[in-house]
Amino acid sequence: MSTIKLLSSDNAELAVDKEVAERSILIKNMLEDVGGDMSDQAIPIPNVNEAVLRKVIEWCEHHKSDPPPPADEDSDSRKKSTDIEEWDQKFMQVDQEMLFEIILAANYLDIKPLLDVGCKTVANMIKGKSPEEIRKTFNIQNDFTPEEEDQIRRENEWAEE
Amino acid sequence: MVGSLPTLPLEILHEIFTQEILAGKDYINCTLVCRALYAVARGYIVPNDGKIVLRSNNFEKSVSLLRRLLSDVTDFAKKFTEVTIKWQYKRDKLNEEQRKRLDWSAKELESLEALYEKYAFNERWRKSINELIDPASLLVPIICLLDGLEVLDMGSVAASYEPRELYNDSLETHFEEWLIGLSRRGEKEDVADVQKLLEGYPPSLRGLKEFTRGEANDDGDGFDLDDVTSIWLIDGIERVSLSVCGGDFGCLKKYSDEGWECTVKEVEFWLFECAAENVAGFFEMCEGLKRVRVNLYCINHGTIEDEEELEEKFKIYPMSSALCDHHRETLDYAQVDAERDEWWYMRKKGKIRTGGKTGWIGDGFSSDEG
Repeated sequence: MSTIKLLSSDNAELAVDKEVAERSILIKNMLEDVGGDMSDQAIPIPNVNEAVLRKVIEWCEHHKSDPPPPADEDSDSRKKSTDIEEWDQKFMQVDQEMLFEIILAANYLDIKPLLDVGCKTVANMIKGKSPEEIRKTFNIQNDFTPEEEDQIRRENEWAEE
Repeated sequence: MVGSLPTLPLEILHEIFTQEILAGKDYINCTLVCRALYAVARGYIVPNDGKIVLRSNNFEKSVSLLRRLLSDVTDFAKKFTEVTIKWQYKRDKLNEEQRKRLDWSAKELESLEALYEKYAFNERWRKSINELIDPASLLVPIICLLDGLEVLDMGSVAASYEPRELYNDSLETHFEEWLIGLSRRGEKEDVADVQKLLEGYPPSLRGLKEFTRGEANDDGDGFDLDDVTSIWLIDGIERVSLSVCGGDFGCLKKYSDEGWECTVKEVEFWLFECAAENVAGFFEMCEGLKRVRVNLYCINHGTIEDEEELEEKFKIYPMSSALCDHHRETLDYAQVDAERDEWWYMRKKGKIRTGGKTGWIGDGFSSDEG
């Protein structure tokens, strides 16, 4: 099995199986563009630091045998599924900063299933919470005035049960 | 480095909000968290499956929806495909504090004025909407603005139940008056060209495919078929179901004389007081009926003096004949019958009670003419 090297934004070189790295559509396309031979040169991943890249590679290794998503995968069907595999749930048990970094890396590297798991994890953290609870969960500052809050409540009245 | 949820790029926030784990209430809560989440989550507060129930007595919800429709420049209005109107008890007038809370801004009033001009709202509705007098009047501009509307269920108006605080005239004074007005333009301006008339309809009605209207009352009155003339004229209307009404389709004649044909495929008339000859005449105005259900009934308008007249009026044959002659190619199912039991029983003063009602199903003639 051939190995390629990835160069993180903080200049760490990580060796990874080509098959694993190709879970990233971005890397897969890059390899295709250069005829598949990048054995002596590291592929720069300028938007992702070493720690995050290691997590992404860990995810890709675990999922390397997953059937690749169909060419134009129906993203709606992924979003409709509310389940997150047990392994993925544990994988996503990281601090919020790392969670958001993984999501951003998945988006940049074009790894849709990982992006989806990350977004689903965040959606689960929002689900069923009051505005104040959401602020608390994500450490968000309320930047509304009381009048603005009242106005938004009125604006949403039509949709309230 | 990424700080917090609101600092994520917009495309990621949209990825999160499109996860079906989240429901309407979650989006509402997100709009109240901070400005950044408000800007994104607001767009996800949409009706479930495109359906919404509008209540005639609810100022808060109607003002809130109308306000949103007036201010939203996205395709928010198009997300509503099915509206059901529930006619309910009149609520007390707004007190000063409530009114102040709901009052329109100058910009909103300006948008409303543009709407009034465009669809010829009369002064009474304008006043009622602007001054928040009758919540039912708010339904008119709301319906005008729902560009993606396909199904409109006007519900059953409880016309005369006690207590009298019921909205016994809100339909006629606002929403239905508006519907009538759309077709009356044709009368006033002597417009017989339906396409020209339809240009004056809001897009919400021009795209309508299904329409339902009923009446639930305790004094035997129904609504007048003329009240919904504008619906028949819609190019592309597919299904109309009316309950407890009467009339003669006379308002459609001039359009039919000019070659217009109604596009409706499926019609239901329940407890319908209309002479069979007139119903047959309407069938002849339709371009291709697929399903027909007619249930004739004497709604006690006091116009029928004797049972013979009633028998004549409710003959089945003209209807079955018109269906066979004009729609044999398209018709899948038809059932027409006359609800005889009650009026026969009444006329005979209880001496005779008939058995089944006269009727005809499909393409075979039954009892009364057979």
